[in-house]
Amino acid sequence: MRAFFTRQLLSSMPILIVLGLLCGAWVSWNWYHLGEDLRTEMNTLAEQRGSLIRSALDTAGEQGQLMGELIAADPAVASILASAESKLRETAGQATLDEERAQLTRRIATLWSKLQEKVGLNQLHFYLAPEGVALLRAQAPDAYGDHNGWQRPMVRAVFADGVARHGVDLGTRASGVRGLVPITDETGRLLAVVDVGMDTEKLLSRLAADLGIGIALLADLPGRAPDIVVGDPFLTPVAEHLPARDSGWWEPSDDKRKFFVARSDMQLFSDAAAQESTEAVVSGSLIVWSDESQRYTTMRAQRLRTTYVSVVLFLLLAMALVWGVRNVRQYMGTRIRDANTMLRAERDLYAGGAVAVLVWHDDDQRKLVYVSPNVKSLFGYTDEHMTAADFEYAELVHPDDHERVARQIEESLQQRLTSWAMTYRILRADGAERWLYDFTRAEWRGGNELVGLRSYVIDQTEHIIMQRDVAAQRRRLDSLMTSAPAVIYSAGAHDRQITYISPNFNSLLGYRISDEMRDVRWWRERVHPDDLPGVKNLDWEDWNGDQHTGIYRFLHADGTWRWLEDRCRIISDADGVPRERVGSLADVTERVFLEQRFKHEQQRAMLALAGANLGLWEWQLESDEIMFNERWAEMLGYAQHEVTRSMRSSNKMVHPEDRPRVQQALIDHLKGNTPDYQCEYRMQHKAGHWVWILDRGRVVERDASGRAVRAGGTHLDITEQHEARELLRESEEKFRSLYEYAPIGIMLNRMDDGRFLEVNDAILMMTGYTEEALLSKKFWDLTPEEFAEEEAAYFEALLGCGVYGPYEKELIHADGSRLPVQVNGTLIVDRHGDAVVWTLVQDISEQRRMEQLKNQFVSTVSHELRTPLTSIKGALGLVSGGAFGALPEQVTQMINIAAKNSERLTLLINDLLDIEKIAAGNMRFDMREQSLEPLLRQALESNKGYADEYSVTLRLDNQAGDLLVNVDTDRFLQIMANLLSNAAKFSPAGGEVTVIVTTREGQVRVMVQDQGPGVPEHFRSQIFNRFTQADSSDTRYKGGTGLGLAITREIIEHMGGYVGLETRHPDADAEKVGARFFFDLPCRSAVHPRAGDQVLVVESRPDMAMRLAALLHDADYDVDVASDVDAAMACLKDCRYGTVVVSDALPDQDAASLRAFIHEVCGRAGVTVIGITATTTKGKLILAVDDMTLLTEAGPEAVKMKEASGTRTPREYDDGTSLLVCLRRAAEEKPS
Amino acid sequence: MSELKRVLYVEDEPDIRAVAELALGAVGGFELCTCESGEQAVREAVAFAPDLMILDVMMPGMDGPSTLRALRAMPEMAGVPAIFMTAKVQPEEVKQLLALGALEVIPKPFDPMTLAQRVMTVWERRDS
Repeated sequence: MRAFFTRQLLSSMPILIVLGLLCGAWVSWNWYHLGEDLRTEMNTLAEQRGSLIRSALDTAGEQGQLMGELIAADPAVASILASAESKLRETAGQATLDEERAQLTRRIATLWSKLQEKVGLNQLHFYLAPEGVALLRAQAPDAYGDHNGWQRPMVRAVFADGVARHGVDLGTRASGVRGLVPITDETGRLLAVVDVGMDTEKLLSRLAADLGIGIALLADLPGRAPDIVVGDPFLTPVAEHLPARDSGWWEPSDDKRKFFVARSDMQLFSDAAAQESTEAVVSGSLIVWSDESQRYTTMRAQRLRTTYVSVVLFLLLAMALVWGVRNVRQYMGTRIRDANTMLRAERDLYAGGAVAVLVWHDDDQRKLVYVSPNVKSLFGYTDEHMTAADFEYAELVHPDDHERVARQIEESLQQRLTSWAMTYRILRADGAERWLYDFTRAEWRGGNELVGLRSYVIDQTEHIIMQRDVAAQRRRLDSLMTSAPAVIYSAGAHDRQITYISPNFNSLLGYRISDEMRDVRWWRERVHPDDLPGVKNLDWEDWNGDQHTGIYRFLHADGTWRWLEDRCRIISDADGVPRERVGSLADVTERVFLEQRFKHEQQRAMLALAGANLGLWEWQLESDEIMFNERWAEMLGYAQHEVTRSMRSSNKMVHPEDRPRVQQALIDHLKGNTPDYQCEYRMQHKAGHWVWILDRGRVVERDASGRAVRAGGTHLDITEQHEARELLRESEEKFRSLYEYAPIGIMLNRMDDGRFLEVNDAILMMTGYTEEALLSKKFWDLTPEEFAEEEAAYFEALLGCGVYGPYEKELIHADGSRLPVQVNGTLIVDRHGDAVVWTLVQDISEQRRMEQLKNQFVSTVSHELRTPLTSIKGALGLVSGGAFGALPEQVTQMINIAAKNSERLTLLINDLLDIEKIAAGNMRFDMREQSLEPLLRQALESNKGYADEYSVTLRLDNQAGDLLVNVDTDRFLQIMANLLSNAAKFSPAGGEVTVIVTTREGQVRVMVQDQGPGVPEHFRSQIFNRFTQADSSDTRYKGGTGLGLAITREIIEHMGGYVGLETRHPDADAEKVGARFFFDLPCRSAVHPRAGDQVLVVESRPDMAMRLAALLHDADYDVDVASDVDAAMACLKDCRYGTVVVSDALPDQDAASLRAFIHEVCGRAGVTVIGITATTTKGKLILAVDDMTLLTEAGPEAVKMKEASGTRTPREYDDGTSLLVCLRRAAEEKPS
Repeated sequence: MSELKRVLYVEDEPDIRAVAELALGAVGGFELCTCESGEQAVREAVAFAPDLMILDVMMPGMDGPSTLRALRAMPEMAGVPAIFMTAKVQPEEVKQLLALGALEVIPKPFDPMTLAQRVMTVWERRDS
């Protein structure tokens, strides 16, 4: 037996050796391959993580810079900083700057809180030039005044070159992702640097926690520990032992865990590095590591399993060889006829192994003919069960994979493949799901006749689950990416197929992530055609060698173009062949728009320059060469080539008078004394005349010693403006002299409080104040109290119509006396938009004094006249009265003339005194409310005698009813006497003077109508003035003093009335016209109904019924309303009503039947029916009484109501007074 | 030199007319034709054939100057001298009236006892 073995072994040794070698190779290949796969996977993952971190850092830095630019653009901030900077400079750094700090803190307060809340930026520094003194740290308001910022290379760099930048700054105290922006004054001088940033550790911690990884950042300095290390707490300690910073697996010696460390380059600012280097930016590293123990273990388990399987296979094979070589030899060369034999051998071969074998024979409907016994552990079924006739393998396959598996088998067979592999799920007998790796061989006879299939299956579940873990990681990354500011993608370097795109792509560009996106064509279709070439070739600005940054337009799902910033990097394999492109996409539309707008603004500025007709010049001081544009020359009438290009020669064109001024201005600026050069002067036009030029410029370049090298500026033709300005100045001067020397006081006051703004000399003279005293006062201070109310009313009017006055008032003089003035003014709005009032003040004290003198004179003279007149009248009276016996006829005649005229003189003097009294306010009025009608009757009676002299009759046309007026009886009679005597005087003999009374809205109008020639048109306007007899026309009126109407007007106005002359009606009969004087007085109706009087109003219009009811109710009547005849009849059945008011709105027929009904039913009681016409005008009820009938037992009787109700046609409407009068009269007329 | 006997007197105010009638007629002994308006004077002048006209200035209807113009338009009256009597005797007003061709302007109020004498003086001055 031993010999047999040995012999067998020896004989099969070569085969065994070959097999052993093969097995070894397989195992080691597998070993290496599994490791390498995981490494690649880890590298990719690390790459993605790195990209994400960079992108996050970059975004934060950009945000910081953007915010910094926002702050730098604020002119208020710039001005605060300018003040701080200059203070600091002036005090050589000793200034405390508390005020500026406080201002700045207030100014940025809102922004600062937003920065923290919304943007997450939690650091805000202001460093002042020149040495970076910290003016303010918003996050630490108590820390300022130090030079710590100066140690930071980033700060120093910005101070050095004035260029904004952002990046990661690893500081000795604190690290940050920052954006630094220089702040300059308008001349471009650097004032300060604003630094907006975020704590790097904080940002990275969040990322580290989210990704479950550790992150380290460090400047590349030999032997330096990482500057920043963050990560899961249990990861962090590991970092201290980080080995050489290269990518790969690392197992710390004192730790059982297995880490994957990935390192990539990163540009940084570092305090520490800066101490050793002059460069602000140093190269550094971003190290990312994670605990991948689990993955590593899984990989190792797989390796071991593979090795184990391989070795077992090898051993089995070896044993089979050793055992069966003889048999093999025996059967060598013969055809294997019985597959079962072979299969049986295989059964032994694979029994208990991990690989199960399944064999199908084609001729038996592809039934399993052999199943290796180890299937039990895989499928949960025994081999006997599976080879049973009714067993269907396909049923084991997971339904989801069923079709795929069947299809692959079919396709493989059709292509006559000899082997294929597939992965699918099966459902075990116990229902559990397992993943199988199935390697199937097909055995063909003669190349195209299928003999059978042989499948080697192995449980792959664990491996698949491990892969799933990777997918879960990726999903986690995805979810992280959703909230990340940029979209991360990766694509194949050659086919450009997208291999990964983070899900926030959807929110960025609105597209759902789908398979078609993988194709590069999908992307090309959506890139803006103009930008496509750049995108295709990555024809962008390269950065740091392998990173590309491009901006292009991409079509958003909503149809708009968005600007995307694409930062990508090509990842190459070890041989330098590009493998993958990884990048981030960010929507920078807003930024691009801002940039575009800026460009646009710039362009506009250029256009404006051109549009403003500006001539441009640029002057090289060294060579005295000046460049002009065309407009410059054209302004002076030259073509561009005609102008000599030197300052010396162009200076000759300046007006000799202006030359010294221009040179002085230029020298001042060149020396640096003035920030800008500006001068207005004349230059000679080619045609000889002078052109006014506004020349503005500035030195644009100085050499190291501060001497001006180059200057530039603009010319603007301002001839027209200059002329206009001259004109304005002249007119201003004219106004000024007018204002200053005018004898009239002129003052300017503010409308709202009346404060004096300007006063001229005249007003100072008038009021006795000094200018200072007056300018500290208000208009109201000079207005006596009793004028304040009137004044306010005028001011009210001023607001409405823009002017006030002229009116007379008094001003309080500086010495306290009163100054009578006449003022008028106008409202204007000054250039600040404030309302101001110009007032002209005229001193009328002289005028007043003259008036007073005149009045006194008149009054004295009148009194003095009265005394002798009394004697004359007395003497004449005695003689004419017959005291000395009868006189001859001629003497009597003469005496009568004398007596009559002395009487007239008395009247005239009385009138004069009256009007004087009124004017002086000395006339007493004894106002009493009294009935108008008796007064009128008395007036008619007392003037009857006078009228008789002219053979004129006086008549009261209609009744005044019970109207009450508030008047002084004597004065009322006086005005009536004036009007009646006038009327009588101008009436022809036998004529009639009529007094007519009408009422309207609480006013009574008394008219005196004569039949005389009327008042000539030209005389009407002045008829109420004093002494206006027709002197001027040499046509004298009969008698009168010329004061009557003036007195009448004064009296009536004192009693609250108005006197006037009615204008002639154009259609009136000329013969009968005459003059119609009238006066209006306020009045009220004295009508008081008897208590218990009941009135029924029959009115079909509800609103009118309501108004009528209200009218009657207010007059104390008991009112019922019926809207139609039936309702009225129902009301009238018990005959309660004394009066029925029937509106004209009732149809005539109804009205007639209603009257008949009333007569029949209520006749005995004596009911009055009043027909009215009612309507409204301007929302007020007006009505007219049509007729009035008293119904008694004896029969209807029309009550004579002509005077009261006015039954003339057309109807005379009033506010209801006539109806009330009728009601009253109806009550009186009734039989008792 | 003709003797002044017949005087045409126009005055609208009845009281003044009454006084003037006495002064010119009873005191002065002239033969008078008194008219109460210019229109009446125009109607009666030719028939009366006066040697002299005395006209009030302010009258309703035709005033003094219009009456004078109307009378002078008649051939019979063209050469008859005229005197105005008025209360309005400001120098300017007097000048205007004289320019109309009046001999004299006698101011009101006049002295009835010397009026006739004054008229006579004016008449004689005209002749000289």
